[in-house]
Amino acid sequence: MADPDAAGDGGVVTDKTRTKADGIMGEQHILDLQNVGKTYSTGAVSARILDGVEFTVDRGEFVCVVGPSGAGKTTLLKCIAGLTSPTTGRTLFEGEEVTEPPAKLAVIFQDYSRSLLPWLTVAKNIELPLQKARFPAKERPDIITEALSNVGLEGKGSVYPWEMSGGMQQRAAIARGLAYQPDVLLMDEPFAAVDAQTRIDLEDLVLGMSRRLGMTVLFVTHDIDEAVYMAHRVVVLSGTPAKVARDIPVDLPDERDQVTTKNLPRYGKLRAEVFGLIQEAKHAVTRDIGMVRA
Amino acid sequence: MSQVVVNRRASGTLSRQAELTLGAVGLIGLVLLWQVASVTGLVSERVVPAPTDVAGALGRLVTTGDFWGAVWATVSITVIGMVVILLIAVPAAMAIHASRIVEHSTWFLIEFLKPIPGVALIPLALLLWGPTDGVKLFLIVFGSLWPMLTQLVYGLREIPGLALEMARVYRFGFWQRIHRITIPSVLPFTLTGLRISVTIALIIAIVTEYIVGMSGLGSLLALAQLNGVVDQAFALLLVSGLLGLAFSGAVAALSGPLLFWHPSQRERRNA
Repeated sequence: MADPDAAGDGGVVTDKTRTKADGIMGEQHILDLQNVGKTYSTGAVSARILDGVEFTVDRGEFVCVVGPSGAGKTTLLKCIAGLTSPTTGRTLFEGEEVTEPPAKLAVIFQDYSRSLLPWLTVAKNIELPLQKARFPAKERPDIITEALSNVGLEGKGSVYPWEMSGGMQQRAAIARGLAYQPDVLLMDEPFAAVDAQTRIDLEDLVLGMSRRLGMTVLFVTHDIDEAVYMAHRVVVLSGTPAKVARDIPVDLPDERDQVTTKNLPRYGKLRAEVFGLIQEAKHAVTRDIGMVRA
Repeated sequence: MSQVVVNRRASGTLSRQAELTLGAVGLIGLVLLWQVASVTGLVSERVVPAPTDVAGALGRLVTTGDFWGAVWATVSITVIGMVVILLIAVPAAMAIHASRIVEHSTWFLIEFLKPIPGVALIPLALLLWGPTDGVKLFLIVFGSLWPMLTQLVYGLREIPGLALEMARVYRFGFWQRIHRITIPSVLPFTLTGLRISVTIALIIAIVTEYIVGMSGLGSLLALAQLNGVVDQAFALLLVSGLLGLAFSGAVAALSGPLLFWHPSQRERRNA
């Protein structure tokens, strides 16, 4: 499966400084997207979704990908997760080309009601991905208990997903991802289906968890506030097909708070910058369509 | 009789208790009306015997070995038919779901065979193989395979794509995927298919017995009719109906524990 080129490339990166990389010197990027393009074709009709998307994620980073609806964010996430293969370019996970979902990667999906299996209890849902090789049977109960307490669902293991609220179901899905002990957690608009108050709670939960456990998170969202509030870096996607419009470091204090962080002038500036880029992208789309029509 | 079950499912607001009470009231009312009509001579005794006469005939029937032999013949062939149908439908549905080529090459054939009533094949089957239990089985399988097969194909198609993506991300093994995702997802459709198929299977069994005269409830019915024992014919009719109700009731009874997680069952419990 592993591409020999990819392995060689990874080796080089560890030895020397990579000129292109803006990450930590001498360390390999945990995620490396190289010229990722995706075209879907059905018969004679083909749609180019992504075109030459390039960025990297380093260990312990929290990176948000934002873009307008329909910008190809989910497609990009699927390419990274190995659920679909890019038409051009490649994505590297810990230096190896992704051809199938990597073992040390977990995905939190938006639709928790479908990603959690209703015929299994929460504990069983969490246990299911814990394969024999990595998780001996006698360690699993402890892993599950810890994952549940990490998301504030202590004692909810024996409950069925549909007996809980939407927010709690998404917590259970996050617990499943945590128990899997991934090196990278991918999150695909995970809070788009919950109410505003729950959303704020879950943002702070994921934020606290990721900082506490030093997790690497790639978080896809269309919500600008959410992106700037949570991320170390915001990658703005724009255009059709989508490419990286800008990669913005979020130079806010690492400790985030819904009130104080969002009241910082710097927060407002960053938010405005991302907003401007997305608006520009939207207008570009409208212009393109206008040109085609004309 | 099976209509009662269907209607009960459709009404979402009544509690189970209320549904059962209303059902009983309707049934008792009908029997009372029937009794009154018979006693007052509104309908002739020779055409429609009174419920009390039918009950008497039924009482005499259940003391004979012939009757229980006939019930066993009909029930056992129906159950064997359902087993054969499952053995055919499960792999067939999987093949149709897995391969576009199989799907397209069988679609026309299935759509063509589906509307042919199983009983229409009785003369042909008799001509080919004579009046054997094998023929009865063939007719049952041919006539009631389609609802099961169609439901299974639908069920496989309706497995949520997201659940499958989740299984890929978390690297489920093949059996884990079958056991934890495919089978539970398809189960509601299987039970629906089973309920429809088993009712048709029973009808075909009885009609075949009636026409061909091989042992079973159908042949007893034909005999009673031939001898002009109208109350016994009605009693057998009643037994056939109860048998149909028992079969679909058995499938419905499976739904509660097997589909406890399904929205339809959750609503039922909350009602």
